[in-house]
Amino acid sequence: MQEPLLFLKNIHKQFPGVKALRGVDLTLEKGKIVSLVGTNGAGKSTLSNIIAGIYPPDSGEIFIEGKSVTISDPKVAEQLGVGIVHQEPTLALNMTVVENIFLNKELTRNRILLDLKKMKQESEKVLEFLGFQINVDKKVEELTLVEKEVVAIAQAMLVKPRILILDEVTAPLNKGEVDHLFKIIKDLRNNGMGIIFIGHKLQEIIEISDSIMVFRDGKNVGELIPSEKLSEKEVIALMLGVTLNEDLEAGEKASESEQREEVLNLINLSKQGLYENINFTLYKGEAVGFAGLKGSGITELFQSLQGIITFDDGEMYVKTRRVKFKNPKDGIDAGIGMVTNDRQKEGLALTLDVKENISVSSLKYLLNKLKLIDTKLLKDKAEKYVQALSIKTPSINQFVQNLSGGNQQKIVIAKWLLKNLDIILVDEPTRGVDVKAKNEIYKLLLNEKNNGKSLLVASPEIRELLNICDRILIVIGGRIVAEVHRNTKEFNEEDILSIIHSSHHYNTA
Amino acid sequence: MEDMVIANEMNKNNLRQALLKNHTFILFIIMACVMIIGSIFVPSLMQKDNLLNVLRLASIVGLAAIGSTVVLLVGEIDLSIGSIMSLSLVTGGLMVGYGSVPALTVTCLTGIILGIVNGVFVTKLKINSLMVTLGTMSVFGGLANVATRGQSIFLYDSPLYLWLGRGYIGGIPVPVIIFLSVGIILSLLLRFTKTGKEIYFTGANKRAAWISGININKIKITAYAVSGLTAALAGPLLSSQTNRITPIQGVGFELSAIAVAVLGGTSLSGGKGTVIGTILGALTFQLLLNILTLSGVGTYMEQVLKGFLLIVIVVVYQVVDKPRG
Repeated sequence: MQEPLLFLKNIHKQFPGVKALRGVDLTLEKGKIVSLVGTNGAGKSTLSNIIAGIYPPDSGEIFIEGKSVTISDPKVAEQLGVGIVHQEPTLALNMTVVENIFLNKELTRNRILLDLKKMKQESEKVLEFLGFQINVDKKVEELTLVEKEVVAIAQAMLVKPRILILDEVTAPLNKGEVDHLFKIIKDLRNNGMGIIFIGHKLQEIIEISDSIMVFRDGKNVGELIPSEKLSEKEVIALMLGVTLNEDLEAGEKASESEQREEVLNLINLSKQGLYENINFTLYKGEAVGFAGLKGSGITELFQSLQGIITFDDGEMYVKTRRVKFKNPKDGIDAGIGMVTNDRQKEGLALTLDVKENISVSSLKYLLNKLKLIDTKLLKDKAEKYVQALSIKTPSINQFVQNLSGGNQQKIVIAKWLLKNLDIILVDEPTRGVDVKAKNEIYKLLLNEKNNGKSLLVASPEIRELLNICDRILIVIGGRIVAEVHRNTKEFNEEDILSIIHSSHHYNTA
Repeated sequence: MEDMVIANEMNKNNLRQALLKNHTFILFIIMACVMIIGSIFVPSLMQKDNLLNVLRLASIVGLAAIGSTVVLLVGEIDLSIGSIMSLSLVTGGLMVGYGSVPALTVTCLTGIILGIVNGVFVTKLKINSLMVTLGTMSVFGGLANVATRGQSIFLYDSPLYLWLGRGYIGGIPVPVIIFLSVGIILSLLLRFTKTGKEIYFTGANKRAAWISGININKIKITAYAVSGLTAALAGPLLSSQTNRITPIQGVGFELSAIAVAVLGGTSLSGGKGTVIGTILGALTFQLLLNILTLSGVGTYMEQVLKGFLLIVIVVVYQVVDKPRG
């Protein structure tokens, strides 16, 4: 029997605070397309990065054509014949197509001068093979989305890979472009290449795959063989499985009957290329979820609401006062703060300690009569929030970099709670957080909501929006396409996911 | 199981942290070692006059290094310290006919203004601070020469200047008293004011600071103003050593100031460092130079070793403070 092209056995990978992969097996035969599907954080990208040598597995074995291999870095992966096209292509925008295709693999004459002519010929050949005509002297920033995607594939093709990983390459493409790309992918397969395809749009997945591996919580939980009969619902059902975390009896009921106080009102808010005509009202003590895929514009919408970026058009009212924030401080002064999806880059000073991070936005209120920091008051406040949010830290003097992801996330939230903001925007509240800490964060957010705070929550995990929110808005391509209330029957993961993953909305890009 | 792993890691980190927290303690030990070993090989090191001289010179470079520390804390750098020193000395020197007090006031104001100029360039024009201050180093230094046509200004009629650099209060050299006072004040300000806390946060993570509502431009301009002021304060102390103000007095001073700050444990990537560390750094730095001078290396070689020392310090700290992955 012929050995499979690629065989992974019992792969484990742990990141600080989260187990990304827990014993994954995968077989890829020559001339087959295997798709990996699963909700965000299920482990698909981690696995493909391991195959591409971007990081090593903690344990487990990798075989290529029956030989055990150690893929210690991307260079080794290349030598073994593994090519990868990343989710967001890592192209150098200000360089030309040919320069990008040959990046780090430049051809030279006499080992010194670049052989531009040959590189151009080769590039044109690869692009032609892929069925695209792109002027190779054009700068990449001038290309369309699909052209960029093709250049990224051409870059990967250059090393003549036997195994090609395509990580969400269709995300920015419209139907026609996807069809074109699929033709290329099928050609590659028919030439004997083994292809690992990662995607979110299930219709596409079913169309292109020879087999579908479903991931959940860092494990592959099943394999589906596409056929006429296989429906999106079946795949979704397997993706979700049995819900692991006990559902919280969230927001019992929105205080519908009482007089509701508007705290935030958006009218036709737009930012070019990111989101359009967002109309939305947020009430006091309400939690509203935003569901959508990566790149749907939700993050940018949230950023605009605190003034991290500015919106182009439309009107924004905070408690009937019209505002347009120029910087994040304006947003905070109006009572709005964002917990961004990248706490290490945007939320915390990792080399400073817990109390310094919690207090950074509230120092104005922690001064004594001499306008100096009231150290005791600062400590008391920090202690109070460390306890209230059950942040696990040896002391408030611990450096934040030594805490786990969940506790770091709580510190970012504590910063805004100490500041006593009215509206807290949370983008991916539990990214990189383990299951136990997740539930604690849900409880914490619910508690704040019940205390009269208003929350906007964005998450790729519908489950967590269902836990926290009174209603969920579904955003596709920068527009709100649907709204689901807690007391309606569509308020469940399956229905919401099928709206998000159904293909017919993808035409705005 | 998982909890145990985390707990274990925390213990390890605590130990590490405890060691790091005692940075000043470690520095103190290093300084003591330098002194003991130095005095074995160069006995004249421990003579009272020599030690007073070391203290005096350490105070002058240390004063400027305090400013460097603050700029490094916000994650930027100031290469124009030496030129600010020269130019502010010169502007004050041109006023010396009206008396020492007005002259010194002008010097300090010039330092602050030049610092603000640096800060505004760095923040408003969003130019890399290394390039900005490399440019202003040349501009300010050149202006000092232009203003005096390269001539020196003598200070024999300005007893206040001379006293600042060479006088004593209760047996302690005046520069030492100025240095320690400025050091203590700035140390307290960094620790107990809103601006001080925000300086650290900005240096540790600029973007997080901005999103947390800190006016990072204001913070950076403040840091550069402090750096300008301390450079200007150090100038007269240096001038009085030679009885004159020259337009090239500060040349090369930025190197010493930055070396001292880094030796004192200030991180080049921002957000980490203390004034106390810088004070100890200044003493250690000057002791090392003094040992070299006393062992007859000569002034020219001194410059070579100074630069070499800077590189060694940075390398050593890089190894010690390796960032965690």
